[in-house]
Amino acid sequence: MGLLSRIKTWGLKKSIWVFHVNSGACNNCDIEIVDLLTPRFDVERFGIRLVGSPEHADALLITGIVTRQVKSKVQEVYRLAPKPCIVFAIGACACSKGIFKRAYHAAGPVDKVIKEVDPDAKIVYIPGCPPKPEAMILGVVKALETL
Amino acid sequence: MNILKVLGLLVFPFFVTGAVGLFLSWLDRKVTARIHWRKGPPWYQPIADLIKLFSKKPSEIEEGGKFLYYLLPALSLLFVVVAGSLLWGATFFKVHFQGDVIAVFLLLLAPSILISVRHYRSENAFVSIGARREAMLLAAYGPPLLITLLVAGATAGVPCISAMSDAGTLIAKFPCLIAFVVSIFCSQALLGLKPFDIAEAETEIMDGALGTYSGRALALLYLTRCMMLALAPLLLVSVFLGGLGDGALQVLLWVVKYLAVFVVFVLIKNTNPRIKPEQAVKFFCFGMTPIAALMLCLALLGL
Repeated sequence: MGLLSRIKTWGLKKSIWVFHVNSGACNNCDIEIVDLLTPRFDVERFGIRLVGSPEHADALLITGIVTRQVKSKVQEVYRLAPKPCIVFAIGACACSKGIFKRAYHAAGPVDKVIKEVDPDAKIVYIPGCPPKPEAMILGVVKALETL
Repeated sequence: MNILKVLGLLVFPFFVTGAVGLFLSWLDRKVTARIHWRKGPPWYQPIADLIKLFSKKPSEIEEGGKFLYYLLPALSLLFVVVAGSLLWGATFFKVHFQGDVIAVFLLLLAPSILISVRHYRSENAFVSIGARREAMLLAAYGPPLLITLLVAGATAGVPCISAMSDAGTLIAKFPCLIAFVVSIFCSQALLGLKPFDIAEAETEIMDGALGTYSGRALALLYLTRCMMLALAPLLLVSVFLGGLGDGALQVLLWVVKYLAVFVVFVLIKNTNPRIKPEQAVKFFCFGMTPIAALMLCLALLGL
């Protein structure tokens, strides 16, 4: 790997701007995501920062089953995010639809919806109902190892 | 000496303003984190952010194509670099001309003007609202900021940054003290910091007009923002608190003043919620502008 590539990879690893997408979650995972920014976990120490627009994002934190109504919006958000963009499926619903497996309104899980628009998308699964903030940080670390 | 001056004027604006801006951007986040009882980002965070942004390609370019997409961030950066050239030139080399403070004021306003004009009629509702808010805020904080600079100019006798710096600590005089306080609030709006970050309100209008930019274009805007963070306190310090003196102690005192003004910005940002657009307009039009105008009258009367 050349010096320029190493610098680029370093930048990508040390500065992860995330955009939070609720695609039909009960709000439990969302509360745990907000926990990450609190003094106890303080993920800004690792360069992780919540941003207001998907066009600024390096990672999408998607919570919820992805309902039929919100499916096209989730795909649009992924399309808007500059690549490389890592998708984090946070919580049991986002990973596998959880208790909503046979629900009429479920279009998910997240990986299926995202891979419809980008078969090569990088997706990280963080299961749990809700997953602990520590689990999310571990997921981010594992995702960064793939870069 | 002339060659040194020219080199200084070329090198300083970009590299020094950029370096100081990136450092202050980190300091802003660090102080914010400490206020929250957090540890905050490491010192290299703004550099990592900038490298990351430069290494990413924009997701998609709409409305006007690639040329216009990159033109606005590039022009914004250019105007701020020229403002930096004038300010650092006046601070370190005493390079000046009559009315340079007005030129710096207009150059610092240029990024906001460009964003407002470029995105005013965007098809994206959030972008359009952001641009309109930017224009509205500009019309509100621009006049009082200009008047406060004129107050200092009237007190020093000439609207020139070097003359104001040489006049010493102007805030010892009552009109300048009040003008300094007004200019701090106006600078807060100029930098888009809370409570006047209504044009970019992340959770409300998704970063407004900035929301359309990504990759290298966003990197240029990020750098512009960092440079503005360096130049706004520099302008206030040069105009109201005196310039660089001779001797190490004087230089140290100047650095302390510069950082203190910046930390005041950060503290205001962290202790106030975002206000509504109409509240911001009322605050500047019916609060700050009349006060600044009154101080200008007092300064012209020599009080």
